[in-house]
Amino acid sequence: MNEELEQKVREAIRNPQNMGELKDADSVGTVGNSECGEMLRMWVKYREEKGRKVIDQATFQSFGCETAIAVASMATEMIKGKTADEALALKTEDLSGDLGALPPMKIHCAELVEGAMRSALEGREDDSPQAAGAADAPNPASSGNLIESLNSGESPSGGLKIVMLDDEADAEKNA
Amino acid sequence: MRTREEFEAVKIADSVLMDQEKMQEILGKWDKDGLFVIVDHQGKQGLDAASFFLGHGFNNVRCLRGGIDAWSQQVDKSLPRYKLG
Repeated sequence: MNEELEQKVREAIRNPQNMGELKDADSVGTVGNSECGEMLRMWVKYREEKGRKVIDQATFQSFGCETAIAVASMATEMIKGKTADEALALKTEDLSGDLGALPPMKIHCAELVEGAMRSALEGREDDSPQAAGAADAPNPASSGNLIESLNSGESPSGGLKIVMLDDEADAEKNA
Repeated sequence: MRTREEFEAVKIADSVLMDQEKMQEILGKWDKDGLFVIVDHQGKQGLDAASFFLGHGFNNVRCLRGGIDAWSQQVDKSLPRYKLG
């Protein structure tokens, strides 16, 4: 990371915006898992504005690097007042806001944020205000917070049993 | 990479379990030029973790080729091999 970007990231995470669970959210999206070590969950709440359903508030929890937190902070500010479609039209590079263009090794941080946002916004049923929190949408209340997910070991390989290969033949077979 | 159960069953001496706390410690406190080696079961998942750390500026991260399974065959035969079933 170059020094200028590092400075901007530090400033952004000194006072991150919209961090934490949104209790009465209409939709929630998660990307990553505890096994790969990066997880980001985003909550979205809509409001009606001039007949359109716009994002009233978006919050996030992140178990990722500083850059992911900084991007999530900026992205959740940026999408306020936008419809889900308008927010979904934002490109990965737009989400990093004041951070500017991210170096290649940091782009995945913005992609993590984009993935969580996409997951939260695409969970909606339609654009009518009545649809907020519709039955088909993911249930934000049951999603829990990110720490709970991390602690519960939400990972694709959870529950695998360890079988010791004492027997050399067994070992050969399983090599 | 490896679960706590795997780690407790078979581990290389002086290695530490990479859990979420350790991840935070590494990202926040470890020297970015320091050498550390990621040990997974068979050298497959560890590469992603190594890439992750490389992407976060850790220039000297390595992944043990073949994982602990290879270590127990080629370096320390006293370490038992295992499979995940």
